[in-house]
Amino acid sequence: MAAGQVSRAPRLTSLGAVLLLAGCVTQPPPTLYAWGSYEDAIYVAAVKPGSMLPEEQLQLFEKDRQASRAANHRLPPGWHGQMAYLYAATGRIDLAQEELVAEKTAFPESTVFCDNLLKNLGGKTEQKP
Amino acid sequence: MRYTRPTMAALLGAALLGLGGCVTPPTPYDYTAFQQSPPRSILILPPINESVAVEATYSYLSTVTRPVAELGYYVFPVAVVDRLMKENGMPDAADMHQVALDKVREITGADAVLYPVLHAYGSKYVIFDSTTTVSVSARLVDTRSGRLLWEGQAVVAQGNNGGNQGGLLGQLVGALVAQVINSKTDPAHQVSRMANFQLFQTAGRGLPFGPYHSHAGKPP
Repeated sequence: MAAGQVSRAPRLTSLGAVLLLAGCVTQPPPTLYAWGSYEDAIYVAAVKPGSMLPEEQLQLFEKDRQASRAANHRLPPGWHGQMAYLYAATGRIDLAQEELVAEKTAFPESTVFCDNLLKNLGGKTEQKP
Repeated sequence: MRYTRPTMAALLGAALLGLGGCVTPPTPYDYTAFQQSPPRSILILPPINESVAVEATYSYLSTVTRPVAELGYYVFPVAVVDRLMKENGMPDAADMHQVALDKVREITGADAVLYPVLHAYGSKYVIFDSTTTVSVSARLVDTRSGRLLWEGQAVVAQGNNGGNQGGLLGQLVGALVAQVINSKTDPAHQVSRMANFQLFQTAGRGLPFGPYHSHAGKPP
């Protein structure tokens, strides 16, 4: 029995190595964040201008938000900042402000940045009737 | 004549060391400056584009948030930062790379700024094959002291030959298909991800893990 276990160990190891190699191709390692279409949308919007409107990005990202909630997987740093920009670009200042608050709550490193953007947005809301 | 043998031996030795260099890890990076002031947050600027590909700057910029954030850093939203800088009189990456560090710190609170440079970006077609190359270097600078915290570079060249079998016709078809796919999907964009992996995650030379990673503070 003992001998059988000893001889099985290397076989298991090589099986593990094969699985590990296969893992490199088929299964990405777990990530800290739920990236969704964050980088792809930025790519398309920047490299092919006009091909993806802010409204379309917002729709994609709102789906990502739901998926991240369902999977209990954090949204990446900068994500709410991007949302704030998109909401501001489409005239929904209140939603933009909410996103900036969400960004600094999730990542306190962004406090100075978000507060400055909130100040700018505050100016814009005051200008509007 | 007496000197010939030692010289030959030295040359051989150097050649062997050169070959060995491909296998053994490169000299370890000196992380002293980094460890004295490890950043929590990184502002990534659009890369300066030294290549001939006009799309390179934003094609690359949209691949660089993820690897840095997954190492455990707060990364400012790259598209928002780009827009803000443009609105503040910096129309391109070269202007943005000249921005004063105290200004960056005042407006964003970033601990460090990453300055990427693209030395090559794109595909070269040679009859039956194409090679896509991304060559990138990056410097990470502390916004308080202006000190260099880390720097690295990576070159990834990927062949895209789908027609090794099936004779001449097979090769022709392979080259045509590869060209169509390449023109449609911007292969350098995909190769950027590999270049970034090499740039940030090469053992002993990469960017150390940041505060949101379970290996925080350790080199990759």
